[in-house]
Amino acid sequence: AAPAKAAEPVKRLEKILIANRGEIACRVMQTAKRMGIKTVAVYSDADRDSMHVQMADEAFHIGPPPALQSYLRQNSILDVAKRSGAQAIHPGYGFLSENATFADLCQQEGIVFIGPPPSAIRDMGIKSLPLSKVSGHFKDVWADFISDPQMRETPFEISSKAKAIMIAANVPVVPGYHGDGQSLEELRLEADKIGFPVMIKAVLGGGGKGMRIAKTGDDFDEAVESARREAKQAFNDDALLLERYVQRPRHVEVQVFADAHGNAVYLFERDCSVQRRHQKVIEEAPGPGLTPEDRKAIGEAAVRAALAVGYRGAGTVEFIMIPETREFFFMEMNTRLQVEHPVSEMITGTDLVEWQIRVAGNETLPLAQEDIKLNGHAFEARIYAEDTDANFMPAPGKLEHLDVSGIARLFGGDVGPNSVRVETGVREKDEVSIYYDPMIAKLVTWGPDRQTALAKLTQSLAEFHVAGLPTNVNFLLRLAKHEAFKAGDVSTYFIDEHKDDVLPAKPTAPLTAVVKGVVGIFLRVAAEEVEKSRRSEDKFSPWAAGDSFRSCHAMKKSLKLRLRDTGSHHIIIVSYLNCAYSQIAKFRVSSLIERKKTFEEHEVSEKLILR
Amino acid sequence: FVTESYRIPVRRCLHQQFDRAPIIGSAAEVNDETYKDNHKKMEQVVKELRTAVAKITLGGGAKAVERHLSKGKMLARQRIDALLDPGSPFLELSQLAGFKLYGDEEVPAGGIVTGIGRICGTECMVVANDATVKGGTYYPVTVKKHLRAQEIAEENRLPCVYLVDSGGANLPRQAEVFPDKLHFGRIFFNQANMSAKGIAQIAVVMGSCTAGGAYVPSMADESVIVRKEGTIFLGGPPLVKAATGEEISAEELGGADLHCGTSGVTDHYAVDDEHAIFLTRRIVENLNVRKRLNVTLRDVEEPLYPADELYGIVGTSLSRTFDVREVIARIVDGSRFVEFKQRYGDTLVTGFSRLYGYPLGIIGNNGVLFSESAQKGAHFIQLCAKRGIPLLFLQNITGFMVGRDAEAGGIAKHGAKMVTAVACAQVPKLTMIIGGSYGAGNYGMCGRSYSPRFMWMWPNAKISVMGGEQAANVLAQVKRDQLSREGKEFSEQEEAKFKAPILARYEAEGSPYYASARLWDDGVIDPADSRKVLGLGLSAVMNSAWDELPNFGNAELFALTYGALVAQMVKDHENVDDVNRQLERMGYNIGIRLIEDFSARQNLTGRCVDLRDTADKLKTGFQMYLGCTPALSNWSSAGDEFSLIFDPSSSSALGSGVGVSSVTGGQGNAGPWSLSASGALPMTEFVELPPNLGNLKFCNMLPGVIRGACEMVQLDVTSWIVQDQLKGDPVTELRVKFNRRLEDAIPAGED
Repeated sequence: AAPAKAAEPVKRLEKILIANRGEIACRVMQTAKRMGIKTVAVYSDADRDSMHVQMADEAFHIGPPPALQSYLRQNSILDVAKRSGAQAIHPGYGFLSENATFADLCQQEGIVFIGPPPSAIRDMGIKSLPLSKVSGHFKDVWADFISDPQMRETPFEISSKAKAIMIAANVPVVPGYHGDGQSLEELRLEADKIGFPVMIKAVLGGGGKGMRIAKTGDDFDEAVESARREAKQAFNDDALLLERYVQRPRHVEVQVFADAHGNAVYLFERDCSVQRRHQKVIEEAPGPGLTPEDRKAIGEAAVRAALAVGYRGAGTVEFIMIPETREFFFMEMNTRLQVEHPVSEMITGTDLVEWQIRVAGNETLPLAQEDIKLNGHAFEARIYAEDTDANFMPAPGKLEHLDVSGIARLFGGDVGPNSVRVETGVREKDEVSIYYDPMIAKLVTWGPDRQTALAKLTQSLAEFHVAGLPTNVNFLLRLAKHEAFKAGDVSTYFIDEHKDDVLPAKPTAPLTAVVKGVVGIFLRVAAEEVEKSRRSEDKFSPWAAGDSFRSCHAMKKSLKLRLRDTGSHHIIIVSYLNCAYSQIAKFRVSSLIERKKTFEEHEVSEKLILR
Repeated sequence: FVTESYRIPVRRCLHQQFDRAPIIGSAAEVNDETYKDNHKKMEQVVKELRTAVAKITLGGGAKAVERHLSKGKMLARQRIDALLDPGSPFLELSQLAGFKLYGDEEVPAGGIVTGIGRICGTECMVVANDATVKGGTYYPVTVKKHLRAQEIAEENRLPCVYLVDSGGANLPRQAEVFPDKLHFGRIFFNQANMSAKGIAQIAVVMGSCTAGGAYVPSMADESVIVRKEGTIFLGGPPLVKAATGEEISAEELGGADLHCGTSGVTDHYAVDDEHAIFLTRRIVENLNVRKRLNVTLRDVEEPLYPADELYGIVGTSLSRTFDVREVIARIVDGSRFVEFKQRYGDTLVTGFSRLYGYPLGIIGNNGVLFSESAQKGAHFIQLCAKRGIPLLFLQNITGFMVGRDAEAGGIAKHGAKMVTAVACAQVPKLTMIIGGSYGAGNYGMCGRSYSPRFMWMWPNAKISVMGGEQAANVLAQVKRDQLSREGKEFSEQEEAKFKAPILARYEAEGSPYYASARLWDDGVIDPADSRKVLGLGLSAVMNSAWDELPNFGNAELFALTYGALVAQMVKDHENVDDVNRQLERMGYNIGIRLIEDFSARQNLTGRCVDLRDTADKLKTGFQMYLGCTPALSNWSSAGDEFSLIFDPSSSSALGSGVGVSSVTGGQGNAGPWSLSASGALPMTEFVELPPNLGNLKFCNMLPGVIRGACEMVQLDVTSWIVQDQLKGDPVTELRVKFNRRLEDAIPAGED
């Protein structure tokens, strides 16, 4: 364990700057206000009217919408801190939260960085963050921070420095062998030490070439031979390395907290296995299926990891866990307050932001490990503006409608930090900007047990009403209702394994339905005409029938459209077939599929709702 | 005898039933051989019609269309489609204009598309030149069609939108286009006069407007011109060069830039057709036209029977008869029709109905016109004219009855009454020829000469002065007479040879295509579209106002008939029952009845006979008595005037059957007797007539009865039916002036 730092005097913070936006900025301000601390917001052009700007006591403009020119501009933010007289900066998550340079700068300027010391960030931080773990809009930003190109697309890779520190601190890491001895006997010996299944990789490998998996010792020799052959062919080098193959890992992370006085505690673990595009979707605490012994073991390992790097403040130690054996291996440490921190708060009855502020002011941790009691179960679902059918593509836009009052109605007075929380930084009619993370809200529910908490999550999701842009609410509902999820049988492959259930293929509309839709458009026009006419004196006028009547021939209208499902282009020609009486409209619709140059004809009769 | 507690609901349900017109028509016998044959043949002619129209709508041929489109211009019909409100019908006029009219020269749609459509909620007349047809030049039929569109617009007060894209008068045919009253110049005359009447004139210059054509935009209220397409000048570049030697492009001479920027001839500048249409719609939006209905409106019901059954019912053979009520049942709202004088003159069907909620008086033929049918028609036309109800003529008429009996019965005069009524009625008239249209029948049934607001034909129709066969026979007879004077024979063979070309000619010229090509009508339509087309026409008509009380010339056509008839019969018959039987045989629902002890029930005050209680007491429904009670005859003398008051909303338990009786005869001790006219409904149905219904609609059909009675006793009726508020009740007062002593007037009693 790292030696405790010399105790500095307790400093009460009067004013803090929140170098972030959206939900987390609002979240931090809430606690700050409760603690009687003044808050300073910074904002870009895009956030001029944002909720966090309105909540803050003071707000300062720091630049145009792109994050590199605003929320990532370290000097501007420090400048604002100095101008406003803020004593500390809370970085939230993302942006500058794991930027050691910024933490250094703060230190130089005499402003408290509410986070770990720069050295801890360097030891554990951003360098191990693979690019693929970063959501779309941050990608360009983060890319600059990642120097090692190999890291970019490789999940679960730890920087060798962190790995060494962890091994030294007796924190389990994924066992492996990366040695010079390449004889089959030597490799087999190592493989037995690692334990099966074992992954055999070419040292120079990539793209799956020269990679084999040996499930048992029986497969091992053959796998090594074939990997070697392939590696030789592909890279002209047959050196191999070995690693324990984790087939269906769970993502289990431990919330830790350390103060400047050498104290560190864990606030139990969260399971964040359910992920898409390496981004968490639903998190829960505690991890389902973990025994108290597991919990203690993993918690203590996390505390050891934190102490090993002289950690201070809130941090998360991520592990991968093999569900069958309950073995866990260190993966990385996030040196920030994480998005999903509320689930830990819920089960421990704490306010981690308050802890952060206190620890930053050199106070000791409010609770000792033995005082932290696990109480019930909590879930968090992240509601994003995204198109779940288009590979979760962010879908920014205007929140035409946002109503969560149903959740309050549902749980009555039970709403509060201990039951259901809706953490958001947007309001109805706000814009979900293209420049930042498209998260709309976090929905956090608590229950005395997993089942109750999950039921509350499901009910609350159903009462989460958003319109104006596509969201993942229905996807989350399908997840939350899934039998496997209910049973706690989760892994990082959960969404892939249950793809058909949670991402059911959108039924492709048959052309007849398209045709009906087109007719629907025309009928709507007709209905509008009728409606207009009804308000006039001449309310039953046949001129307002909307049927485009033509004597002895049919009025034709053409409409060009592209079906999003199939991407096919159509020219729909709608012929209004004359109908003797007004209330039935008959259409002949020809659809010319441009590419195929074929015509399909449909005759559609629809009742015109005329009067 | 009806207690209040259940009176109200009973009354309500009965009223609704009572108010609604009865349903007519019957399900078609679709398995009947004749029906099937008819259906098949009509389907065939409709198909031919649609094929012909389909070709016409393509305009002046693929080449011309392609050239037109390549200039970035829209076709005439595309322009109209874009101009009209989405979903708006377009009631196109005379699609067949110019059909096979100029030999080998095809002039589809007469080179001009005209019709009514809705723009920004306002029904407008759209006149669009089709530049793909002979460069949009005006053939004689083009002029005629343009003028007809203007006539319709003027009569119905429809704003006019001219989509101008025309090379002007067709020079080779200038003699048939330029000089006469109803030739080219009339277009501008109409524009000026319509504009004067407040009927908006809007011109959109989408092509050339040369010479006279320049006046279309120049005389319009507002005009739009399209850049690089529209030109306006009195003389084009060739003429200018010839006259002054000046060389100038059309665009410089009269393009949009010049006319919007320099000359001020046009008001709005459009960059292309679509923009021009957008601007035009905005002009119409600001016309401030409001359609005010001067008729009552009822909820709309679709007819009960399928429209295409008209094919099977009517067919194409004019020798096959059908009941025109079956046609009416497939056109009007809810197939509901209140027939008027159902049992009188039954070769003519008359009655009231609704079409898209608008009231409509319908006159349809069920055979040749006799004196009775003609009088009935005249009577009905007068009623509608008086009430402001538009008329629909469903024409299928071979003519008026001929022969000795008919002439002796005065068919010429009776027919004249109907023709007079048709000619003078100021209400809008619509005509649809659903079968034959021959001879004077065409006049009586509102043929083209009688200015129906719209006139359409079915594709099975035939129109000529008489049937081909009859005409051939007449001409053959004349020929035979001529030959026999010369002492020559006219063999059967020769006769057949003589008749053949006449038959062929009548066949060809009687065809609806022939008629429509010459604009003898406003279009040939699919019979199944009849409801739609008539409804659109009727609705368009509602944009105009019309006089409700026309002067019917010399004809007090029907008024005297009934009274005189009854008077004659009373003279001829001793027994009241005999009179009634006779009346019933003649199809009258009005009878006479004897009322005993009449005088005891009179409440005579001064010169006013208040009859409001009488009906209650007699329990016969309301009756109005004009008669020779002793009291009445005592004070009546020449020059006296007295009033009869009756209450159309009598509150008696039996309700107020509305009727009128006139008195004739009976003087003496045995007491008076009276004629009682009880209206067209059986007495039993009077039970729940709603209060305040007003009897006017009944009274309107009774003036003839009253007048007849009065005339018989030689009294003058100075005025009748005065609605008044007396004691808070609506009452009707009839004032009668004596021009002689009543005692002198009344013939001796029979008994």
